[in-house]
Amino acid sequence: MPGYAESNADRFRQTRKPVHLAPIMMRGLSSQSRPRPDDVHLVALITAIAAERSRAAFAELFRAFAPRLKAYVMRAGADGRMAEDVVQEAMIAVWRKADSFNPEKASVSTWIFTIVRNKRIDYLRREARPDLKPSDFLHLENDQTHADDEIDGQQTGDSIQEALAGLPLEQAQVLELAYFEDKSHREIAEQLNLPLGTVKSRIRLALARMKGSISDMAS
Amino acid sequence: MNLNRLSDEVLVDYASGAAPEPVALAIATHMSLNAEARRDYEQMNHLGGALLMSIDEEAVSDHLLDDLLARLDEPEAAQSPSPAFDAQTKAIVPQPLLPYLRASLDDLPWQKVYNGVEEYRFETTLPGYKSALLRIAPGKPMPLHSHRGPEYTVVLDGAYYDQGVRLGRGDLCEADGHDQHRPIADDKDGCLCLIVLDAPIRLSGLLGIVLNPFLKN
Repeated sequence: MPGYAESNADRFRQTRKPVHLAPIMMRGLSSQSRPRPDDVHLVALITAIAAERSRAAFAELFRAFAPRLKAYVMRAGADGRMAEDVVQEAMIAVWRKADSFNPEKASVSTWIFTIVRNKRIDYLRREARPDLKPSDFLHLENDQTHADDEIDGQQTGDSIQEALAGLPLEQAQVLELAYFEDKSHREIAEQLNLPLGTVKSRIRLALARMKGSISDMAS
Repeated sequence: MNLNRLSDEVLVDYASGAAPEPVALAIATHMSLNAEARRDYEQMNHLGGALLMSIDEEAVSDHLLDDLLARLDEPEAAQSPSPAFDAQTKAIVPQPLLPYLRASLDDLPWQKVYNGVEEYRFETTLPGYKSALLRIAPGKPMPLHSHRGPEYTVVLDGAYYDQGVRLGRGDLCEADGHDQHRPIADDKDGCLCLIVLDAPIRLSGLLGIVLNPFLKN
């Protein structure tokens, strides 16, 4: 299949800063990671890569993200070597696509997440990833800006952080199995030996809590 | 059955990356044409970014950065050339779906399923799933839903009516395999849609082992 653009960042305006989860109660989510770099700085690094092809900026971005990306790929079942291959592919995509990153619309961590997720699908499952790219938006006919797009990014980040931190463990576990271990909701039900409806309702409750906290903020 | 709304669990399957390719194709096609679905997806990507920043880090090899720096100037692999699609096809088919077509809409090898319904089946890189475009003549009934599991329909052109609801361009129907009704194509424009069946041969347990050979197409 032809490559799909990982940059589905368009219109994603909610966050301009990475979301800080610590302290958090979720199993597997660390509150001990070293401090995360400020997103303003990360954006500057990507701008330097795009505008100046700065290898120094790339190296700094690598140090900030590569250990996270490696951990992310390993959680889905890859060994260390395979994970580093995927990290290389993701970081090369970051280098090549840096000029498509729009800091008005996406946070760096969200943008890089979409890239490494799609590389993980490509390398671990050998599947193509049908995804959005900017030209898709030309097809939209009634794409009005909604009021909730105007919410400050940090507020949204904080509210998602709070909502995540406050999730019951059983709901957080389902999100982790989905995002980190590449499990569909049906596979999660099998793994946890739960009825499908139970897994669905846990996902729905978790998302309702997050959406609710965002819309509370908007009102 | 969900008419024109992605269920939360399917949205999470897609945003987390767990959705199999054909299902991801249906969702990406729907989202290309539906701003609300895309906003929901963006929120879920946001969640992915937040989770990524919270993960326990894994130390990388000392040489990994040098390896990468040495590769940065590698030329990008050439993409396989896609067919020259005509203007109508480019206007109707959203980007995520386009690479799966081997020709413009009018030049595809349509197979007649029954009177008024034509089908173009295509493969994704994941075998065992059915994915197809359906072209239904005005006023004709759509094929019955499969009973093998979830099924996704995305309208690309024209419209169809299902239980009194009109589904037009970009709209999505998520059916679970138990829905027993028969939608009808719009009596003026007919309907062109993408259909994807999820997990036709993934039954688990002893029954699945017995049945699986018969479920392959």
